[in-house]
Amino acid sequence: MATLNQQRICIGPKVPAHADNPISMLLPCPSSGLPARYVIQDGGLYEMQMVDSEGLRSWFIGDTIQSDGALYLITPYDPVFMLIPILDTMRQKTADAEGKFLLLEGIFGSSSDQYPSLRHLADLKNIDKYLALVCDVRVAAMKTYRLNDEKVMGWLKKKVEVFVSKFESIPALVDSIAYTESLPEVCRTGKFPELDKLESRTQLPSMSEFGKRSGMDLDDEPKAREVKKPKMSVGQRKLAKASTAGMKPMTSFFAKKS
Amino acid sequence: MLEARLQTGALLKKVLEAIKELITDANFDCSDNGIALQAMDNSHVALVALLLRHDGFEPYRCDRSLALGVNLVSLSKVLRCAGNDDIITLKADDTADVLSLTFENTDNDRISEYELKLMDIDSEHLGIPDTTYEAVVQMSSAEFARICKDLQVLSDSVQIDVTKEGVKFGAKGELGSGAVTLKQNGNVDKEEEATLIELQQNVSLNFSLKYLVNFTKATPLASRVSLSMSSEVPLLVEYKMEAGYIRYYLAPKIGEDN
Repeated sequence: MATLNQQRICIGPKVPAHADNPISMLLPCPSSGLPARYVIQDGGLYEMQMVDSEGLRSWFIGDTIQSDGALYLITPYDPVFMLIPILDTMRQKTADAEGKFLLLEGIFGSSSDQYPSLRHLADLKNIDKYLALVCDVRVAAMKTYRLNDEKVMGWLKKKVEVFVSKFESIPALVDSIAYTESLPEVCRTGKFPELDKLESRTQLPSMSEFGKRSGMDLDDEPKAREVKKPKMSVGQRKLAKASTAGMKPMTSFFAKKS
Repeated sequence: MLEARLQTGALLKKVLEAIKELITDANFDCSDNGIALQAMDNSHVALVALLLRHDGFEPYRCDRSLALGVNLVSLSKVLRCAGNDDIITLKADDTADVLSLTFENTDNDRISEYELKLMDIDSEHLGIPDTTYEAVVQMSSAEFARICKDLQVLSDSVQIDVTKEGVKFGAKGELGSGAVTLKQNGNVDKEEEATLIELQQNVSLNFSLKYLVNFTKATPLASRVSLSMSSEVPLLVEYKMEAGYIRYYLAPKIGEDN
């Protein structure tokens, strides 16, 4: 039963007293490409995760019982992670062209029908600085941006280095990753062989996979977008299932006209 | 350029409903004779040929032959915006980039205008010779639709046997078997329902019911349907309209035990 004042247990950032209401939205998760829940509050991006109680637990809240036993976690999320696949899609890089420079509105405006909420990303605080971390920036009358693969690699590498340097100070991380082999090694040596390999090729091979999974059209040829595969009508779909065994094609009965 | 004004817009709506379930894209070939369309279904075992003769329009003007490449689902969506009593005017210029449609409602002085983008479609025309068929059955179109629908419960294919006495539609499947026989009658009182048979020779042929059911989408266009058959050639299912026709051809199933 739905109650009017549903309560949730949520661990989140401190919210200033006069803050605007948070915007909650679905965006493509950069890691899986599947829709995931994100929150924008005060110009900052947060990831929302739910620890599902699977209907087995409830919460006592004061004198009431809340049947939804899930725990919600709202944690800060580096917008650059979100930006990289989007920027990669939008620049339309091809084998011989580096792709397009785009305005802020161009990047988030039309990228995906599936995720109209992407436009909210343009309102993030310091979005131009985040973009500049991984993009070439052209300043004319308006600022335009284009993803730069080398900058992306540099940025990712720094992220890894920061992570490695803090790794052992977080016991929970050490414990949880102890059973996988490669990461502790990375921590010991501070090197990431996989990353070096990628850098030598100065491109990110799996990048376009990102976009594909997130439902964004990643065809290099912008034309390919317009030629949608024709949709079949209901009748045609039924016919597609019809057995045509023993039936000759029309062309075997009627001659082609020249 | 083409300009064709159709007094009863409902006709065009029904025509589209009748062909869009069989084919996706097709050229409307406009000439001074009228508007014609010929296309095969995806499996190429069926063919539809449509003709809307020039005298069905008032006025009709087509100085130069034009091929208007149309996505039929899109066109039928636009036509859904037209009322059944609307007068529909089709217009296209020689570049054939767009088809403009005007729907006029004389009762409430409403005029709506739509433009549909056209496309280039490669189509091969098949030459269909005039043949004398061994058997021609003329019957009520509603009756034919009902028989196909009923027998589909039992099987995917129907055996049509035509003799002097009548026409028998039979289906056999895992569930069981069924047959509907219509006796030849010259019922003068109910001319619309009479079953008339012209016979040179008895025929017995098998056809895919899924296709026949698909063809019966044209039932609203005409109260009568004619089935023309000869052994080992495609069945012709024809719905005649006041000024034109819609003809479906279907390859028989050969070598199937039934």
